[in-house]
Amino acid sequence: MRWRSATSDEFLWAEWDREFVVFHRPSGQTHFVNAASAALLRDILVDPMDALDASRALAGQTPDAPEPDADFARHVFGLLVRFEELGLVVRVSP
Amino acid sequence: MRAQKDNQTAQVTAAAESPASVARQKSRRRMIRGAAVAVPTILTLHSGAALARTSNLISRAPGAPVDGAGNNMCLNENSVAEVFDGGQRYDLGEPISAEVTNIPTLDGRQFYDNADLTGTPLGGQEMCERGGTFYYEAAGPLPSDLGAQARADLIRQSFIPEAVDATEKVATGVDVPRGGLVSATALASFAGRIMYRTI
Amino acid sequence: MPATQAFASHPRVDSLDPGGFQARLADGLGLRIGPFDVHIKARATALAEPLYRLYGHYPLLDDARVFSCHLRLEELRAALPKSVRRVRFTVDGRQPHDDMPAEQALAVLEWGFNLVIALRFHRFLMLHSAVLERNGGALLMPAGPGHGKTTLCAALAHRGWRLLSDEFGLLRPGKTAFVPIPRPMPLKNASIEVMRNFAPQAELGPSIEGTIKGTVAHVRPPRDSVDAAAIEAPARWVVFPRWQADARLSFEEVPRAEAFMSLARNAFNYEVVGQAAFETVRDIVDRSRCYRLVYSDLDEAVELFDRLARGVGAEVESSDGESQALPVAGEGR
Repeated sequence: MRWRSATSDEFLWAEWDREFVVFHRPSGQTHFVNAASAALLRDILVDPMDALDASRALAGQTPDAPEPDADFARHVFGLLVRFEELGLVVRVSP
Repeated sequence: MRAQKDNQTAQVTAAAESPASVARQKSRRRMIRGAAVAVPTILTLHSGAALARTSNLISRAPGAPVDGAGNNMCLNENSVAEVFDGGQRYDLGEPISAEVTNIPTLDGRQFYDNADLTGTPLGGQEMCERGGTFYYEAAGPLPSDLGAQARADLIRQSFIPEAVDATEKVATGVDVPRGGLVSATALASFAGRIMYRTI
Repeated sequence: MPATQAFASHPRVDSLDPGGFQARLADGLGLRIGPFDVHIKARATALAEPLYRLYGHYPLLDDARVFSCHLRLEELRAALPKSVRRVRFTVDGRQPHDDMPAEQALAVLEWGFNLVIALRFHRFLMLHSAVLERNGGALLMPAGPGHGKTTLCAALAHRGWRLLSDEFGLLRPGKTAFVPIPRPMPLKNASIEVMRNFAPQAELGPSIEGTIKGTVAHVRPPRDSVDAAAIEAPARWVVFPRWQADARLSFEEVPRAEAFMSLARNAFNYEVVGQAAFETVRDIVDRSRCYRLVYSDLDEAVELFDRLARGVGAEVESSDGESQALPVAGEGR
């Protein structure tokens, strides 16, 4: 299962001290997201990716980070499903 | 950010000085050099039509009802306008504003009031009415999966270089603000700004 | 014509004698209340006198205009000699709630107008917040009921702050200047006596007992606040207040992303306004310093706001007992 971010013009971003608030134009909803979620939506998922690769990409943004464990990957998977429900990402056929 | 800390999921620890982080450090046998990765989180602003109604009262539910996903819904008493009758009723204010902690009952986790994970596991009702930090045993990495031995500390913004020997029993802490369980049906009848977080 | 002079030439309510006002009120009269032209027609026992006092400074309007809304309050004829007297509130001919006890007529009219504003005037982004101005900058105090917002607002309005509103932070979408709508401020229960002691010179309306909120009394807005109702004020400080019995004064900065979400949560019509609401709240947070206040002593809180306005560092004892100076300079980043 792979996802990619909605197109960038669907989002309006506000950032303060590495915390983000994002307005999603199509849904009219506003979300608070942390830096990791912002990285997923703005950078990592520009190209389609599954949850495991997305987890590794997140970890890769941290110097000397170890491989993410199963808990982390499961959390990212659950979050991507939630992002999809909110319209922030779209599922892409493999 | 206060709200963000409170909304961290079970796998997330806050800054190193949080009780959950301290608990995890105590359970380690040895330190492995590593780095922490921030867990992505999201908090959605929920709201409906805000009306200048005179009051929006909800009662504490009898027993421990669950919603359709099997969560106990714990209403944070500090997030509401007023608490009546010793916590039996809550005024959600005008416009409606409240925070609810979803406490899963069907995901197999058992919660304890100590980082050693000893004693009798607590149910959602007790956790809600007591409030505080509760601990559960986090699953270790599957040897056939990512193959990681080190456990990543999950914090909100900064990256702390530490890791855990994954063979160790690791307790993860979650914060549950004190309050009372409410029924999903009752909560659904209010159109307002209700923020949900799931532990 | 400059905004400050827009209604300067209009006669005020107190240019009428009380009897004349009561007669006009029974037939219907127009009042300028903030940005709204409001037509009020009311016939209820003992309503005209407190309205005359509370709205004495407000401009009277002629009927040759389109009014923002038509408010009606009519005392109903009792079915039986000993029946409870009730009043009926309607807006543009529609009744939004049940009839209420006639003794609460003033409160019904005031709350009813709040309801109309919150439901209807979506050309503004409306925050559930008190707003005051000092030295050209607006202090925003978003809070729900029970947090002490109105008491604090009434106190500040009598200590050098210009009242813009105790309830509604009105913003034109895309702008960060607040539109004033000074109104009588409803104090509840113990707060009434607190205010009498704090500002003996404040003009209060009658104590209305038996409401769903307990006893309510309205504080008349100071005259200069009403006279300056056409002067908008740009956002400078956002303070989330909370009164808590016996609490030590606590004043701490709030991270801006958290302030954004708390402000948006306190907006009556955030989703209705949509993208412009997001941009407006973002801009408000961008230009303001944001704080959280916990207080129990009104004098202490007012003094802290005084230092905030003067740009003096507010020394506040933090929860660990250490004294800390917070950057409270008035300019946003």
